[in-house]
Amino acid sequence: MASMSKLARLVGQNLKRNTKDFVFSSFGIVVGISTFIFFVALGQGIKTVVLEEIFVISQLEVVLPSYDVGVFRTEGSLFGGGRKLDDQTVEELRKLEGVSGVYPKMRFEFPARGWGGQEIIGKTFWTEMIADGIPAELVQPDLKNPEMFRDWDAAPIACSDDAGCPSGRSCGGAGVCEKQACEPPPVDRRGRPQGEDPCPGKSYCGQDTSQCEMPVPVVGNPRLLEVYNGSVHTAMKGSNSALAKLPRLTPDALVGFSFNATLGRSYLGESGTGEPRTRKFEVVGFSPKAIAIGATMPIGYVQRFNAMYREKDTAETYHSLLVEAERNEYVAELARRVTEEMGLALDERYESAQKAGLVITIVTSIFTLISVIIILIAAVNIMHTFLMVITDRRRELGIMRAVGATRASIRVMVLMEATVIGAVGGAIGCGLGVLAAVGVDAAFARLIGDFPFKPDSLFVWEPWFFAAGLGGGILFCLVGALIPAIRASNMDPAAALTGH
Amino acid sequence: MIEVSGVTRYYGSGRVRHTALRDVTLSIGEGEFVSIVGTSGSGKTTLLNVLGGLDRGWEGSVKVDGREMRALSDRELSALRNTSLGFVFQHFNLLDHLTCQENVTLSSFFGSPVKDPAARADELLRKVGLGDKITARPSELSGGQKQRVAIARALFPGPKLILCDEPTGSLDYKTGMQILELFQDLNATEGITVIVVTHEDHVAKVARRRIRLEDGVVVEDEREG
Repeated sequence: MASMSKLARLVGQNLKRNTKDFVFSSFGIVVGISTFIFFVALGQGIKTVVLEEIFVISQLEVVLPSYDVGVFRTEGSLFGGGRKLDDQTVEELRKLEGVSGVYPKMRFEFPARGWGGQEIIGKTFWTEMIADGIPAELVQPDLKNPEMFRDWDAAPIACSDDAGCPSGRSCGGAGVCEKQACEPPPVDRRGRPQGEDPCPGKSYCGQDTSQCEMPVPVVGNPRLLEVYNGSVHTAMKGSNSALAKLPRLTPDALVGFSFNATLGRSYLGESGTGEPRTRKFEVVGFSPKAIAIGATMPIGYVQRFNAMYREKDTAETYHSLLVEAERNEYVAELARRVTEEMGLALDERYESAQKAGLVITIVTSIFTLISVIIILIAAVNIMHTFLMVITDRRRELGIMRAVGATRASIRVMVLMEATVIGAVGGAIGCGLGVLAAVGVDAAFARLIGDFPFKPDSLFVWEPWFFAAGLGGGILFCLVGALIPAIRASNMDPAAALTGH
Repeated sequence: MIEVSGVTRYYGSGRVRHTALRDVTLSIGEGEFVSIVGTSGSGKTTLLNVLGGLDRGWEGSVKVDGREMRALSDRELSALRNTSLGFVFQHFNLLDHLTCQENVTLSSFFGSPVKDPAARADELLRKVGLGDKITARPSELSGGQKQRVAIARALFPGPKLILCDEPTGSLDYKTGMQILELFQDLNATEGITVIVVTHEDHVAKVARRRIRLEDGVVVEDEREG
């Protein structure tokens, strides 16, 4: 059997001889592979932004089904009764195969009004407050200081001394932190405290409790920042609005920002039960699992606030349940079981995500198909070149057969040449694809203005793209060279030597 | 060494079928120096290709070194050519992009058992008088020098049989005779069986045995002494 290293030497010399022919014929491979890698990375990049940032595809938000009755839309069962999103439903969902976690979400079910921003824009900004609550453990992995996103009032905090307690609390005799008493500062007619707050550190003096309270930790959704930076900030620039002074916002810049809210009262009205109360809130981070517009806090706070202002039942049912799948591949089956077997519904975003994912997949597939067609045409070109080269080398192949080359050796030699051409063409194609992507990214950054979710790069690169590019280049060259290789190995050596 | 029995070789088919060899039977012993003579189209190159295993489309029986050629697989036939046979052609058939040394070692690319191919090639090139042309390429050599490289290539595996197809056909008389003397010397000193195909009588006369072919048939088998 021929020595592969020696054959490789012959292959090298053959390639050197026919460099021009092979460079020309591998042009199609280079173009095809670069197109392939470019579009696959582009598709992956767009998918990442759309399905991982805009729609979080690994999660399903389960809600009660809603029915359209004329101009009305109602949630839950049409004739009363039926399913509730409560702890029992949470348990049922947790038992489904492929579910890694179920997290209940609960909204403020009462009016609330927030105010703040004096430190940032120089005047107090008032707004209706939209908020919800989720289990802290769902959000904590997304935060730099996860220990700050906790329900300070959920349970007594054990301590051995004052240092082990949060601001405004002292270590009591029972070994738990006790809130310090305080004299609340006077408030103006809109409920804003006037003068210094007597509580230490981050804590503030509760108007209704006369105790030092820790601010309610909240997280925002990065999408809100994207929308603000991509549209509001751009639109307000140069206007005479107070918001015109706002800089572009980053999550880090907003962490630590605090604001107040009056619970039980808003511009739209007051709650029928419970007195309005003022609470202080502090932004402790951002998470894509937070409510899209508004503030998200540990669910315990929302349960207690809802109990204060609404009937008990409201505090025990959730407005949605976030179901996290172990893998993205399980999401479709989970969606089917949740809707068909459990009679629940999915948030509209799931359907939108499905549609967006489908559109991206179709568009990416079309471009990938185009690149595969280019590579196929290139393979035909490779075949023609090899047929030509083999005809030129007919006598030479006859000599090789005369000195002992087997048919297999001749085949291997031709296919080795194709492998080298494919590998070089594939590598150059991958390089060109990356270069083209870098160029497009640079043009994108320079020519296209800010918009929500504008990514730093349109492309996402995964190692398998390069393996596929290189492997594809080799594979298609081998396919192209296969017939010529077989023809060369089947050549009659006597006829080849005599030139017949 | 060689036993040929009832070998017939056709080219083409049906009405355009041409018979290149017709029931050829002959025997060549080890260490013989044989010329196969005939006019163009008499079948002498075909016979040489049959003996060298380069042509497989014949009928009959050919045994080389006791092995029936028809029964050998492509791999076995290639191995036989790689280790036991040497070919010398009229147009030298050297690979222009390789050096003289690489041309001589060509069979080693396909599995020759020679331990140190480069050293063996250098030794053979010196033996044929081209010790100073080891790194030269064929385009830098004269016709006679090219044929000497081809002979060195044929000798490389240490063959028992060298098959030469018009080895002096592209050379002038003087150079051709020098090449023939080289074959005579190899035959005499190393006992290599040499078969030379030629259409020239003065070349044929160098051999001690002359086999004449006419229209694919052996018409004369003459031995000296």
